[in-house]
Amino acid sequence: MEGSFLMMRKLLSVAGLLLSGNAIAVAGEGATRDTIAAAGATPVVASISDVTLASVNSNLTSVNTALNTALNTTLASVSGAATVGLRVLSYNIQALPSPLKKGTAPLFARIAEMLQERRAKGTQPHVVLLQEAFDKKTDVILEQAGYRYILKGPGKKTKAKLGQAHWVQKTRKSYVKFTDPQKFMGSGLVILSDYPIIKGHHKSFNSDECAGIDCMANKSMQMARIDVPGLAQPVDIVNSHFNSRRSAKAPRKLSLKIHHKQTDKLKWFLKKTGVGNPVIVAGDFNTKQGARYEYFAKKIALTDAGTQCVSDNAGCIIAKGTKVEMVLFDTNDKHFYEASDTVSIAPYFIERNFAETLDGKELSDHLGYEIHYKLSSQPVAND
Amino acid sequence: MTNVATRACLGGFLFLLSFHISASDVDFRFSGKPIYIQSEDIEDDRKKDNWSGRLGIGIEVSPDFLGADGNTSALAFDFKGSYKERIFIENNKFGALLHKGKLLRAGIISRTIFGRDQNLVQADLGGLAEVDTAFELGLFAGTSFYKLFLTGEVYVDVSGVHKGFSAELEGGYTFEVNSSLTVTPILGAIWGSDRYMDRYFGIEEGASDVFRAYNADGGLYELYLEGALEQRLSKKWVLKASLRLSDLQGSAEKSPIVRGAGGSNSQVTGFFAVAWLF
Repeated sequence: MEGSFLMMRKLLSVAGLLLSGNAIAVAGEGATRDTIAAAGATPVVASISDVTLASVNSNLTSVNTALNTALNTTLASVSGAATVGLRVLSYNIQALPSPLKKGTAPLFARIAEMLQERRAKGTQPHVVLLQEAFDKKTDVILEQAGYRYILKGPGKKTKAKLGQAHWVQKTRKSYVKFTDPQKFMGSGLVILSDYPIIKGHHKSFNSDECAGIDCMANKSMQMARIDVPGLAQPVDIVNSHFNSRRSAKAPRKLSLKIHHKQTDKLKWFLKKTGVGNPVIVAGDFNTKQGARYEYFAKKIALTDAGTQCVSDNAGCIIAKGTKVEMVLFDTNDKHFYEASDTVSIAPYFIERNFAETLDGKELSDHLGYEIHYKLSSQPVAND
Repeated sequence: MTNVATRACLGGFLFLLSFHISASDVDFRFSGKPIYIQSEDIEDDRKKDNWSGRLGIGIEVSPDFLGADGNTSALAFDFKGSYKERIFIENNKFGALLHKGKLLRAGIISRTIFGRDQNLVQADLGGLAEVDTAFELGLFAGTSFYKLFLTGEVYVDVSGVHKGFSAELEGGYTFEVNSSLTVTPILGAIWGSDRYMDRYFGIEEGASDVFRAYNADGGLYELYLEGALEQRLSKKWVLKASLRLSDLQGSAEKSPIVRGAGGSNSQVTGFFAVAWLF
């Protein structure tokens, strides 16, 4: 492994080459996070069904040979560009407090353990965005997963000050109606980072920006400005959890209307916190419904990492076991991103993970959604 | 195709190498206490008006007097205004919110309650004296969990009309039928002190040509079931309606006023209005 790196360093210094961001079709079959990150072969490309490049994916054992061959070809030459990889995991861990959900402590301990195991292999996500981390028992993840920096989202007392609970009647005894936000749980948002978080912002949705029983949680947005070593600019990473649809037990039209309002608020939040850094927006946006997704994607106008990854010429690979629909439409968890003027960003690997069970119990009702991004301080040139 | 594959490998390797170099300054084997970063709230652009409320007009149907069999319908105005959600005036009530907690709201309140109009009672109650409008001071408290609510009010008369106390307790749940319609069923109970009850249901010796003297004791005197509806017409307009069915209990039910020809232990109150929200 080390030998490979040394050889690569030499090759790099001689040729001044950097990877091409262009797409090369690579079958998903056989491509796993560990073979990619730990075996040192970071696939750059993705395709969903093409199996013609199985040789590339069969653990990439002949990579040195391939490298030598490839050096004779013309690749993009972007001399002086600093490119770094950033692994970002978004994970709704369904940590509802007791008595809503019981027997969860072992599940959270297992999640922490899995992150530790990956850390030991050097493949851990650099940044983890948690949603529904309501329960105090989730502290095991915060304290033991090995992350140096933690940004917690608003608690239940950090209330939005404006708005009215939508169900409150205006007709009777309004002086004893609880028109202010009545929150019984915090935002459930947490950002864990290996890299320094140099700034943290949050905003809770107002009480007329929630519907149904979701209003009992202090649904919010949070932003961590992360100083990623090697990049000319920090990266702004936004985490949020939007209003659910059916489980909110709110009228459908209202639920959709509220989701649109939350989307508007996220757009506002991005504008308020944005300072021209590259941005990654990830979380549980509850956008599985077409009408929700369409409005959301159009409004925030960022690139959907999943869509980008599965599209042709995207330079991205989808992990073994991760179906295309699990990153496109059959999911409420999403990643979006936007480059800055000086830092380009693109996904190169996507995986839906944390699918294991513990004593027959799923770790969460969501899978993790992990994307490996490459960020370059100069735009990656095309060949 | 092989060339393509090798490019993929190369790209991956070079990228990893680049990343490996840039990330080498970071110790990923960190095992200490994490650093919790302070997060700052972003101020909202929205400004909340100090004043809010509603102004409506509609029709009200109510018993001619407490315990009456007959009802009167009349044009009615509906007004509510509040300042910073602390000071409020709502139809016949005026008060201030003193405690504004997550689970409890409480404050002081005053109200006026109509008595018995002489014109209405003359025929049915055999000349029984009218009861003036009373002015009462009191306390209120309310608790709510999601759409379930429970409120209580206690009043004492300061106008000398009945010189007693009364208390009202009601609870309900707001159903969202759709995005613009809410329906709230409410159950309530009202209690009155001896003096209060005697003023509205008692009969002094010789006070009436048709009723014997009656001394009403204090206690629970009214149970009611109410349905309240609110249909949002637009952002600023709302249609509202309510219907209350009451059953008089205890010494109120036994009162000759209630049991007589002009009385009834079943009471109906209704309200229908269109209101403008501000």
